[in-house]
Amino acid sequence: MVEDDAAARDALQHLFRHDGWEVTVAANLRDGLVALTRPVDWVVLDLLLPDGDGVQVLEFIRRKRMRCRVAVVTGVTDQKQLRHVAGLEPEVLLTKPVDFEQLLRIIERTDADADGGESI
Amino acid sequence: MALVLLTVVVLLGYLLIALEWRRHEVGLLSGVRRRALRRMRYTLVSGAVVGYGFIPVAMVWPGWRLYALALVLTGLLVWRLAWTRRDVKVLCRAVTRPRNTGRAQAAHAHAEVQRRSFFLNALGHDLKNPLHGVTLQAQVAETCLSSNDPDGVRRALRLMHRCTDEANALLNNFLDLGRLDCQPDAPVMAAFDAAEVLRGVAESNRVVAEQKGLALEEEIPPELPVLSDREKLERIAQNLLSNAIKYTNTGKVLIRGGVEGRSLILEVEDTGPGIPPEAQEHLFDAFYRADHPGVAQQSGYGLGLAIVDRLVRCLDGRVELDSAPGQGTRFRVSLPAAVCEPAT
Repeated sequence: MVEDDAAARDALQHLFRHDGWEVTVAANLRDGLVALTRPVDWVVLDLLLPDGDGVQVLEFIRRKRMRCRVAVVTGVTDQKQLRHVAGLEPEVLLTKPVDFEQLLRIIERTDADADGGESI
Repeated sequence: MALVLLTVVVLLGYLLIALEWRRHEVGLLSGVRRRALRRMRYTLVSGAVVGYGFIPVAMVWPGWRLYALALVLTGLLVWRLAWTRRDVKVLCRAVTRPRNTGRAQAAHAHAEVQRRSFFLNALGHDLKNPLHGVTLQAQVAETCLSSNDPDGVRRALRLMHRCTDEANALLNNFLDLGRLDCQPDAPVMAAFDAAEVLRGVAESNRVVAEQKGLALEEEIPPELPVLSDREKLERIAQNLLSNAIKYTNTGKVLIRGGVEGRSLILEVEDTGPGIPPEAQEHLFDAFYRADHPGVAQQSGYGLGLAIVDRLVRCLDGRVELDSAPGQGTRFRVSLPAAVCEPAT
């Protein structure tokens, strides 16, 4: 999870762990890219980070053809910027404030769809 | 030849006067341009001394052509030593800045609309962040309640409180700016100890600085008795210091208080990324936020400095900025006639 806002990061970490996920957190872009050296299933990504644009994480994942899925959760309201992010095809793109149950439902559905697709 | 050089010197003199006038008109002078002007002054003084020295020499010494050669060489030397390419670029930009023609006004209006739109997007983002935090922490509190974890609930409530404080501070800044633009408050002058105010501001920012691993240093004399507006001074120092901490990732932030003549001087220095010359001109505009690498689009930039600018003007003071990319930033506020005679 790459998120610079302490309250949101703390909450998401708590809620995902409570739901049985193993979570690695990063508060900035650099730590986020470092965390990707270990295999992960999902990346929950904020866009405006103190040391750069979170899009770089998404671009890195796409460039390296990593198998992890990406949920972009952002407060960005600029349509141009959002279109650019959508162009990189993250599995999930949500704008803040996000309800955790909703995020979890979408993540689980995406996993189920993809796994279903693979078994066929 | 000498006549041409003298004419050049005179023209440069006029240019210098124009730039000084521009400096007063703009009110804020960046460090880069100030240094360029100082070098230009050295050049002019040396040029004028050598140039006018030529007249008596030519009268008494027929071999004056040699002197003219020396003049050219001196001129070249002064130019080479005193001016760098960057100075010339900075000064050229200052001179060739668009005038108030229709096209320039339209471009200015367009830029203003873009800044406003950028600002509203930034404000939207900054408000959504704490809201997001509150929403998620409320869900954390629910899970903690169901698992009978009172400490977890308390922690979630504390974080929710911090989020609402953040949103509240942001809205207050926004409203203050609107108020200052429409109807600036008259200063409420009173005698007080500015050193105590500045120390208080430093203390209130210490925790945030330490959390970022920054050293927060104070250079404040034991007492600074002044006659000024306490609340406005506190706000100016608070905005400058919190801004410096926000944009500095490593190193230190320094707050300095002092007296110069009868003016109170407040300086805030940081070892942050610095501000590029082109951004310095707009830094105090309400809807401007500098884009600098390493601190991409952080929150609140447009408001804090715009408020500082308005408050300083309200107190008839002056704010100066000395910054260059990679070399940190120094804001210097001087509030005239604010210092009281020391009590005897």
